[in-house]
Amino acid sequence: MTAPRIVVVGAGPAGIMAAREAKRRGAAVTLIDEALRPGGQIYRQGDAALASSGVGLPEELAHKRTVLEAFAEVAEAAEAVDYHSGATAYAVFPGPQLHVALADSSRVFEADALILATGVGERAVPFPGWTLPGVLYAGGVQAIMKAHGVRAGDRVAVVGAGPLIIAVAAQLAEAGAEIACVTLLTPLRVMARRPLGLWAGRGVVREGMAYLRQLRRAGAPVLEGWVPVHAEGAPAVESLCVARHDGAGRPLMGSERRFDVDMVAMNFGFTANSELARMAGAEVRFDSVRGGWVPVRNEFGATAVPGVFVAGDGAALRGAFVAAAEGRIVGAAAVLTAGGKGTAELHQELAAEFTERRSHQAFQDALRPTLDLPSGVWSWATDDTVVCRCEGITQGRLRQAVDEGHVTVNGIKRNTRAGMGWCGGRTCLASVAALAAQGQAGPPAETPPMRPRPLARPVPAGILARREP
Amino acid sequence: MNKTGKIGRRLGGRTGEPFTFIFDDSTIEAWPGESVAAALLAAGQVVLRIAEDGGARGVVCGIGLCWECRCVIDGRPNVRACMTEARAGMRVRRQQGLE
Repeated sequence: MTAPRIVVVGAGPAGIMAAREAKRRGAAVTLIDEALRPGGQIYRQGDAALASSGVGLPEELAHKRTVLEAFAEVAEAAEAVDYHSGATAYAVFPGPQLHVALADSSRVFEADALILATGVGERAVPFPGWTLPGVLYAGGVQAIMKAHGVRAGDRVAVVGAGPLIIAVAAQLAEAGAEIACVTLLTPLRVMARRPLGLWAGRGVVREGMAYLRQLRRAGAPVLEGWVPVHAEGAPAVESLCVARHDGAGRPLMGSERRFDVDMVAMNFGFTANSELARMAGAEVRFDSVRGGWVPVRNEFGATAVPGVFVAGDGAALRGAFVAAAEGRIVGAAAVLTAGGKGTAELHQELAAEFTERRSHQAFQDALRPTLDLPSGVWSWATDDTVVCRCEGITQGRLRQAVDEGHVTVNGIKRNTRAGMGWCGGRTCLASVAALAAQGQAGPPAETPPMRPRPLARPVPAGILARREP
Repeated sequence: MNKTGKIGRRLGGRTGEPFTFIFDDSTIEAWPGESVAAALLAAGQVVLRIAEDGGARGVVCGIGLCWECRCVIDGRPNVRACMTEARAGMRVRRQQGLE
């Protein structure tokens, strides 16, 4: 029997571990990644000329080493993995067949199994002024610190929901920025509702406490139960107004505080990069906290589409530790399934990996309530706030479409062009879905996401034309 | 040349020689390994583009997903500053609307 051809998309913890596992089990492995260096967003690496800025605490850095060592093992194997960095996977067709844009040409990869480990992007919640230069995603600010050793501002407000906010604020303080304020939608103490989960994640909790102490030492106000109201400045951000909220996410007028800043870092959770899985025909389900619409799959990562697997945060956001454990499960399952092994054998063979995934999962469940967004957040944008940044579509225009009876995501998209621009609808999808859901008076679960079309990313026509055989 | 410690908005060490590139009418210093976006942010340049709707825009996601930082680099429009490594003598221009 010839070795099964396994194609993995994404070189973060899930993709790297999946590639290594598949390689160890004798598969011919191709690894496609958009970044220039492996590690994904979480374990992003800078150029060798930039000494590591050491952003992150010991537990995270130790796991990063484990994952990158796994990559080194993959790359240095006698018959090395076919690794393409700086490569954009832009379409999936039946086969499965993956279409990839390389530096100067495009290429089609035929696979016996395709493993999509495409991760997540940050979820935006628009508020007035959020398009001003100097307003960035918090994860993006962290990425620029990690990969390029640059802090993006001097006097900063860090706003959002969930523990990433605390980490980024502390890292910015460490990097020499003055932290004007930190706001969290939901107090972190809600995590105490799941003490066992906190215990399971005690290493990460210790890191979180260290970050909070660091912020206290820096004199940064940490405002829990607060939300952004509006950012102002011309041509770039100069101030941010924040306020207490009413429990449903709506700012309480009269409680506002204004801070002078030259940068705002925001994060309101994450959106799964599920467009390739959806393009392949995988069914999706809605999970507001775990990435919005995420592919439906079995415990081995297999979707209902033959040969298409998903692994890691792009399948359900649960962080790097779960993603790495899961990468091993899915990498093995893809090879074993191609070799005709059944479910019972897979369970037997992968028992240890399943136990590891479960242990990390418990902590992720404790984090869950910190990431929940109440419905009121989708009313922060006023009628003149641009929601679809690519096409310049305002909240008012979107509301008008809803009032005219366009109450599905695809209906609003066709009517307004929201979601048709450069980013492929990634940025505005959650906002458009929330408006559609309001129009239907139902939960967003019932409004399917924008239909993914090739190309999943913009690719120059010349690269498409130069197709390698 | 090696450099350690924080200087301005740059943290951590740097190796190699700093170099410059052009951004509109300004000369921007960069170090090997930095993206165009990182070098511009280190220099305090946050307005990278004027959108079709007339609004000023800058870096948002930092990882190539949102395309908000697209600039005209060496004559080529719609190039993401966050995904492009800075090189000596590069000519970067703020993109104005659809180019």
